Amino acid sequence: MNTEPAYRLIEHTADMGIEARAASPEAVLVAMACGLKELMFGDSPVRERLQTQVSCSGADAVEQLVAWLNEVVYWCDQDNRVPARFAVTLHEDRQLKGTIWGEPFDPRRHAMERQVKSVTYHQACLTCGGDGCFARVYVDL
Amino acid sequence: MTVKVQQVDACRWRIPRQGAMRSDGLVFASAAMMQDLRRDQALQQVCNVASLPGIVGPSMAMPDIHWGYGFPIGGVAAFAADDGVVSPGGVGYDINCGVRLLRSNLDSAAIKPVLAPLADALFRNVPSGVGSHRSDFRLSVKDMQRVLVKGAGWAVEQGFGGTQDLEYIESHGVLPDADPETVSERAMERGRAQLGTLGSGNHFLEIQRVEAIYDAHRAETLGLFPGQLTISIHTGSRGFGYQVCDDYLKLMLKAARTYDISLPDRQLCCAPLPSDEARQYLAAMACAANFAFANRQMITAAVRDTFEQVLQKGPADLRLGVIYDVCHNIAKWEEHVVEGRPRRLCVHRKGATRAFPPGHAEIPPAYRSIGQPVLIPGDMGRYSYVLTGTAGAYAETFGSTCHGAGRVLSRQAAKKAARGHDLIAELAERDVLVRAAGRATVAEEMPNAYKDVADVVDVVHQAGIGHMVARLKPMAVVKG
Repeated sequence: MNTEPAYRLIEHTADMGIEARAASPEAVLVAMACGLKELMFGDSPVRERLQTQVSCSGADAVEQLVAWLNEVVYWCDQDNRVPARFAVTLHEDRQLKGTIWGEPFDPRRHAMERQVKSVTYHQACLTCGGDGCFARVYVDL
Repeated sequence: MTVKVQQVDACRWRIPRQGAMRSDGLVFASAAMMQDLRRDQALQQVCNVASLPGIVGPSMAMPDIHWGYGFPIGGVAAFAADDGVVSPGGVGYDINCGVRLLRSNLDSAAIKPVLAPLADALFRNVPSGVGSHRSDFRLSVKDMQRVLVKGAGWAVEQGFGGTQDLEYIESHGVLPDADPETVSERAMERGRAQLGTLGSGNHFLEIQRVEAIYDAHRAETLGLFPGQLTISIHTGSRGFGYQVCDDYLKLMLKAARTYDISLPDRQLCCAPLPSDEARQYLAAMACAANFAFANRQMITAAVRDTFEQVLQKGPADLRLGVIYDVCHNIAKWEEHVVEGRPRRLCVHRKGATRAFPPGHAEIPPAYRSIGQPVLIPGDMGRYSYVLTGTAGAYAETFGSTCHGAGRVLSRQAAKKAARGHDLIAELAERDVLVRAAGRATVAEEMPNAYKDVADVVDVVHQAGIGHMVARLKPMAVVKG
């Protein structure tokens, strides 16, 4: 079950960052992916014509966060695709299974805002407490 | 945490060892630059690099220093072969991002009437923009492996340029010890359709004119004359390099745990240089560096073809020769004298340029008496510089100097500042034609988003870690 995303793009001198808050680790991972989508493609409306399952893992929550977002970057970059929606489930041994819905990039309908080289580990965090989960990453542009 | 900084002279600032630092920091900057630097996290990043094991000499930053991720942009650090480390974060995602400068036999004033069709044709012929791919070819896996081992030499073998080009590329356009077996399938896939593409962000292709000459002898040695048309190419290893870096950061995070290396920032994850992890990373990094050398060579060939088509002139009339090609995101094995004895060091340059002095054996014989050419791009509205390396740089900075202007405005701040402006029209009024794949890129890359590169170059010249030779003014810019 994924909640409504709540993310914001944050300042960095050379690059940009994303922060998100959500009720659960899964929801914050989805929210961060939505932030990444906005950073790359603005608010372009995107249809759900493709669906891809991805999986990744990390030694802890931060590595898992960065690995997931880099899966999204690769999904977009490799075949020129634009994401519409995301879902995440977390499994044992820090395994993450994600679904990305979207469509091929169409310059008539989609804006190409920025190329993301990669999502970095610099000051990356994902913490969960009584008031939900918070995540942050900086991306290399 | 507030970083303690002591002014040494007009261009140098020392960060004395504090906290976990194993050596001092040394920042090259003017007083005005230092005021700005105190406001962001770049100085803390200089300290973080100084805490890595086996660092030799200070953790340094050139005057284009700004907040990066892991290393500051503009960072230089050398590590001992026996007890030092290599860090993919000290090289960056765009491995061997660099600059190539071509000279021509053309007078820039004579080209002005055909500048717009030239810019249009370059924009058409060199794929640029986010996710740019070549539609005309995709390398086979076997050819991709050859590119990774041979670098620019592979492109020349395929007819993209001549063997004389190779002499004027840092390391002759190929790093040794590249091993395609150390590269992931995903990296191979990302690279196969991206050779010969510019990409986006701060990457560009620029037609320029030689606007000022500061050292006539050196300029003449480099084949530069006033009013001459030159072309700069700024790009790197594209998605291939990003993936190599990403893959090896994961390995280095594990390695840092294995070897019990304390990290002030995960992006500084690293492995001891004698380890298998370090050997693998350096072999994969060399593959990405070679991809980037081949990329700039392919783009050079496209530039030459475009000039020939648009101007209806042959190669002998145009004489589009390579002046030099420099890396500015790289880790290299080099020998330097430290406290009177030669040492083999792994020098990391993250947004910094090698600047070897006159007489160095790695400089092409034609330039050996003047020092290695150093190419410093500025922003698209103002100017770029050609410098040469110095004995001062060799003695003080492991033969390194700045790499560009360095950002002062974040991308969001630049976009905000650009609101209500037609930047392309404003640049045209300043005699700079812009052809760009996206308006967002132009806004984020607006001239005011960068320091004035003249201030940066002034610091390196005054500090003696670079010698000013010429200034180049943009006439037409192709942006991704």
